[in-house]
Amino acid sequence: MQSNIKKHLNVPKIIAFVILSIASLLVLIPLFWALVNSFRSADDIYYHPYSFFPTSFNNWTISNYISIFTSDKYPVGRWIINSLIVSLSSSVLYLIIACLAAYAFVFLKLRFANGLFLFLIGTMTVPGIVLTVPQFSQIYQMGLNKTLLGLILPGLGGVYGLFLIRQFFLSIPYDLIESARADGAKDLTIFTHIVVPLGKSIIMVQGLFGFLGAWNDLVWAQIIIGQTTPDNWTLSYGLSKVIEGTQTYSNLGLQLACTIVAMVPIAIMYIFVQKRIVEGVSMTGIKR
Amino acid sequence: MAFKWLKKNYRESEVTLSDYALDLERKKRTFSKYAVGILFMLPYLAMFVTFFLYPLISGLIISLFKYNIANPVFDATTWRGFTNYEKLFTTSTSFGADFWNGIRLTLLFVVIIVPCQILIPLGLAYLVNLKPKGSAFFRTVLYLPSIFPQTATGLIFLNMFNLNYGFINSFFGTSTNWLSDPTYNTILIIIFTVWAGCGGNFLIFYAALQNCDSTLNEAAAIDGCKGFRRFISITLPQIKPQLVICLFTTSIGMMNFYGQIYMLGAYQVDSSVKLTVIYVIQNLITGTNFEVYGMVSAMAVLLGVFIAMISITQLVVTKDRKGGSKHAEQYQEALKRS
Repeated sequence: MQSNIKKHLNVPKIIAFVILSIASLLVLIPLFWALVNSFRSADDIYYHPYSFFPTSFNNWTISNYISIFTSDKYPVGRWIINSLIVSLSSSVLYLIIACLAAYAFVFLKLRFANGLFLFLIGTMTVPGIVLTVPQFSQIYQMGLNKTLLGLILPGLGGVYGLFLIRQFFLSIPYDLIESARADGAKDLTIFTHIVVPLGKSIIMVQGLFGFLGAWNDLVWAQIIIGQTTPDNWTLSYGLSKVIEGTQTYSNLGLQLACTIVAMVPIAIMYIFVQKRIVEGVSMTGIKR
Repeated sequence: MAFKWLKKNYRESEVTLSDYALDLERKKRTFSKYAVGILFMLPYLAMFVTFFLYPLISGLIISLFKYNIANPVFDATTWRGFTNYEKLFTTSTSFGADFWNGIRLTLLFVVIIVPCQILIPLGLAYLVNLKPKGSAFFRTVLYLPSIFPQTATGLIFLNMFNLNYGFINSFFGTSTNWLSDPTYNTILIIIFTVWAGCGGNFLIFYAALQNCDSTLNEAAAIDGCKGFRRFISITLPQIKPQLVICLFTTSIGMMNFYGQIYMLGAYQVDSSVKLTVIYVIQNLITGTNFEVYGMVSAMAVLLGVFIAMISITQLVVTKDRKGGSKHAEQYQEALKRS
């Protein structure tokens, strides 16, 4: 009898539910506050800060969003395009070269491959900060300082993604490749028709992280495009610049609308691939 | 497989024409295999050498010179030897003082934030793993802050905690100057960092708990081992690898503490609470003094040595673990960075 009641009233689960609800609220409140208040006039926020929502129906407005696309001082539309260029090209380019290399490392069974790969893994202990100055100097000498290309290129030498992709490729049955070869398939065909479709999930995960890394980057953007006119900024960097040095609310609406614009594309992407993220963690890492 | 069988056969019998042809074919295949291999690896390796290996070496060289980025000269006039490093070790120079203050401040943040970023995600992951109603939703939400740009979420916090029109102050009826008062600003930076940075570790712990052997837990339950005790004695040892990994990767990540402090410290005039070591380096790089890059490179190398020492300790500590999971940390760090 007692155990029956316990089954219906699972106490730990209820406690867990309550705590997790609170935690989720703490996570969501700032995000919702930004979302709701980006549709609210700055005056209303300033004079009624205690209110989470606009105080009256008239105080709902989309003027903040109009202002971010018409502002001369902060060309947010331009930033979005810049960010998209940088994030898409860096993640896609990296995926292409890393997948090709991973294929060669795993499926061609070259004699020097393992040694070379061990060397690559070894370089992962080198902290990125050591590379910052020389990479900047290199970009400067290549004449790419203050250009978007200067943001894209240095990331292409990263070892991380290659490592992940290789680990995943190792789990693809080698017999499959063998039999395709026996059927006379060329390596490029095997790559595009067998390995890439089978490695879809890791490619998506790595693509997502590559995209996010570039989209969210502040440190490198500050170095490369920090001293340029706002037209060349990325969205993430631009956001750090819309604060105007004082605690005023002059462009509060613009600030909040910008943050929403920066977060929405990522949130949408996250909804579609979040299962893959969790899968990715257990597949490539913990479970082997 | 078929290939091996053929090879064996070939050795056992005398050489026939077909065997000879086969041998030739094999050599041709090996050659083309290497050609293809090199072709496939070339784009990546070219990028690796250009944007990783070359900067790594030139960074070490730059740190020995008085290096001007706009006009790089490597000769006797700009040669500094190890004086750049010597300057860093004498705190009487402004570089040395800034560097060590930065290190001190960074370590302070590490000591406060790292435990939070391990224990809170661990607790949350444990709770989600109890599978209460809506656990999928909780999982999604708890990882959410990690995917957004820190500049965006930082901007939200900056406005929510504003003294004049911030929601937090007026909601609680306080007038705390979160953005200008050094102490409160530091607290706010810590709150924000934990808020924004728990997702990655949470997901790792969650996946680890999912892979735990549930029969062990059940057996312990039958033996009368309950609740917290069971967590400590049964669950924790099973996810110890992930705990160790997260401890190290979080610490290393925190050594690069910058974005959060740059955003939330935007109105902070007292630089002693926000000049972490990366902040110092970043200020110098983006500054207008073009003569200073050799010095900055020396700083970066020195900091890099610190961080590498942490990484190597990690490698030693985690060495005895099995194959794939040994490198799980790399994946997880990638997760966390996003």
